Amino acid sequence: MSLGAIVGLLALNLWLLAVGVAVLFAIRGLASWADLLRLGGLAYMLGLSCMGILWTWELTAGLGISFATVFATGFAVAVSAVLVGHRLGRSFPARPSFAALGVPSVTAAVGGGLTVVYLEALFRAGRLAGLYEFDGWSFWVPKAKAIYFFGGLDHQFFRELPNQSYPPIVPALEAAAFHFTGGADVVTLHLQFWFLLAGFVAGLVGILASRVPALFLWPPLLLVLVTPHVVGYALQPQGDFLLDELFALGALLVALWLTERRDWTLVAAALLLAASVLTKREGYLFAALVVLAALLASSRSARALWPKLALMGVAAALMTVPWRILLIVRDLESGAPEAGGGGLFAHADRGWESLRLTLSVLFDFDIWLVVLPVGLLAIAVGILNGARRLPVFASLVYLFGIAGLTWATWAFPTLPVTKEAALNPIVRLTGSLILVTAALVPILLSAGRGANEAVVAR
Amino acid sequence: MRANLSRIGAWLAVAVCAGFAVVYFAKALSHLNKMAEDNSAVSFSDREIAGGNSILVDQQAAYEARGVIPRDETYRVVTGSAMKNTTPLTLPFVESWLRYFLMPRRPRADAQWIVCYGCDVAKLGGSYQVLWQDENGISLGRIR
Amino acid sequence: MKTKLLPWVILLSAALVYPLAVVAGGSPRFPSQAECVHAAKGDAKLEAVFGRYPSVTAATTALAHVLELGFTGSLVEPDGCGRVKVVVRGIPSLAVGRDLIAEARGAGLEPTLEAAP
Repeated sequence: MSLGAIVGLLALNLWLLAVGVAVLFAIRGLASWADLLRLGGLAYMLGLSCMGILWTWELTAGLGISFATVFATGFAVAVSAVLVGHRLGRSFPARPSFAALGVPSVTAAVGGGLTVVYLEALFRAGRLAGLYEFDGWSFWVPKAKAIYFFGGLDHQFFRELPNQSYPPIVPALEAAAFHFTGGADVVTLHLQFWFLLAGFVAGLVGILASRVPALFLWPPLLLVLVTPHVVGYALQPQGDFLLDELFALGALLVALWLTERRDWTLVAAALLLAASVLTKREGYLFAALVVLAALLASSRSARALWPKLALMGVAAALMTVPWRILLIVRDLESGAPEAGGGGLFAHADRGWESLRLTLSVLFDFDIWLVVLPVGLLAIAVGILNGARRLPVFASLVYLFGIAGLTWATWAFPTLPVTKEAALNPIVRLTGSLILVTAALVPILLSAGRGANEAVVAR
Repeated sequence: MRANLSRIGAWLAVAVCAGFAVVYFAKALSHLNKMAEDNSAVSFSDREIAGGNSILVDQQAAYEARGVIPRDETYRVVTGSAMKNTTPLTLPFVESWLRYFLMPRRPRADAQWIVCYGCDVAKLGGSYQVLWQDENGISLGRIR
Repeated sequence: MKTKLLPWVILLSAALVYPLAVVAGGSPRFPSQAECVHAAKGDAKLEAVFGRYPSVTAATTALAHVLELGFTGSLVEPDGCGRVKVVVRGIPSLAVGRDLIAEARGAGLEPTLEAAP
């Protein structure tokens, strides 16, 4: 709770940013300092993703999370990324110059200003928050404490704590935060999730600001940020919001690749989606639906596009293999549904109820305001503008997302069909489709305006 | 016609987003300010125990266990019916909450250190030396 | 020129107005166990604290020693910050408090005079 703890946490997150800048350099290069500033949020999320994936591998291999491993891992990633980038002929800006940044519009300034005030208020609200959340003290933070106190995936605690199959990125990140804050400070820990949300917002704005008018970017983003659920729960030290943030950015980058065909976006998406899978087991569902939606949306150009999409999906899946192997080796729960496959039909009566529950939560004004209706309207606008691929992609993301969320209740017969958060995680799970709406609405509203479907970066 | 419809649709989307965002921005700010004030007003102990306040019955039980049981020792939480003033969450969740709070101390089924929540002392398996107890039926002790 | 500056002015104002408004209401707190130590300022509601301990068990041992030295009325109670204090309550004035502190130091104890919460 001390100023020192906050400064320590800031240092950890600046380190993640530094690593991410190197990764961004490797995958696309940086044309100018303005380019670096604009994509700083994305760099941070990439740094977090890379470090999270590597921390998972290190923990699986029996190594622990400590100051030494945080610095050594980050250093290794950064050096490797710089070498790869240099080898690929990536550019790095010579002298600091922000001339290319330009002057934001008044709309952008107002939107940005409101977002900054919102984030400042959120910081203040979370700074002295106690750990009240059931899942937080039941397993997320205890797993983090186990990694912090015992170095790695302690056999006893990772067997006895609930949700054995949940991957370790969030506990690893929290353990790293404990090292940097000087102790198991579960109060200051809430601010780590503030950094994640701020990084997501900065990442989304940075990617879209040069592609869409400010009027299409800021209102949907602000709408999502002020929904009651984001305001009330974004700083909980759990995996739900990080999963949503990684999924939304990954889906956005895949959507942009479908229209721009810049391969770096696919590489970045692979990292973000792999990290989402290693955040919560539902990440498998969300990553798969992004890949499937992209495949179907690009079916007319399958020969040209499918190999790269498939490669992205396979690469993301391969990064999660070590964790799956560990679950088998240690004979831990796999996280498979109670009534998977044919078992669903034994509980066919739950199907319709689960679908109704999913839809009622997504359209619940008191939870998510009017975010999803706006998303659907944006798809319609995209279609009317003559765009095809983006509206199809977005529609399929929603469709598969709703199907997946329905399955998440249907396939677990012990889960009551209720919005009650203590009994069914459906409200938390729907956050993914809400955050992705903030990412997709701006490009849907802009899509098709012009000669072809390309949403071209200026 | 399509162009007009799409333009109307886009403006409608922007207007709906902006309209709701402005109204709920004010509500969000108000809610976050209240959260900040409430969190700041909470005492040090209440903030540290936080969710445990609905489970523990007596905060001192957690502090006592943390202050007495060495960090590298094992302990067990034993519950029973001889409790007063419990909440519906006490007996189902006190063991898991203390597991979070007392780390790095490890829970173990045969541990000598006992956190007794209304437990039947006779069934602990040995001579139970009480080091601390309160009037709710909670005690902390050690099997000799 | 004005058109170019306006967006930056809006952004900067937004970034600064909220924290300035918050700080105007008082500087931010950084809670610690020290917030349960209230320095004695006036004559009202004083107490002498003989020490703070991580548990009642540890404090009880210290209490026995304090009572043995003649400081009757001492007791053990939580301090509100996760620690337990050995304390004598109800000291009527700073002058009486200072006398008590001097007497305790003469007996080898190290109490502090504090305002009761």
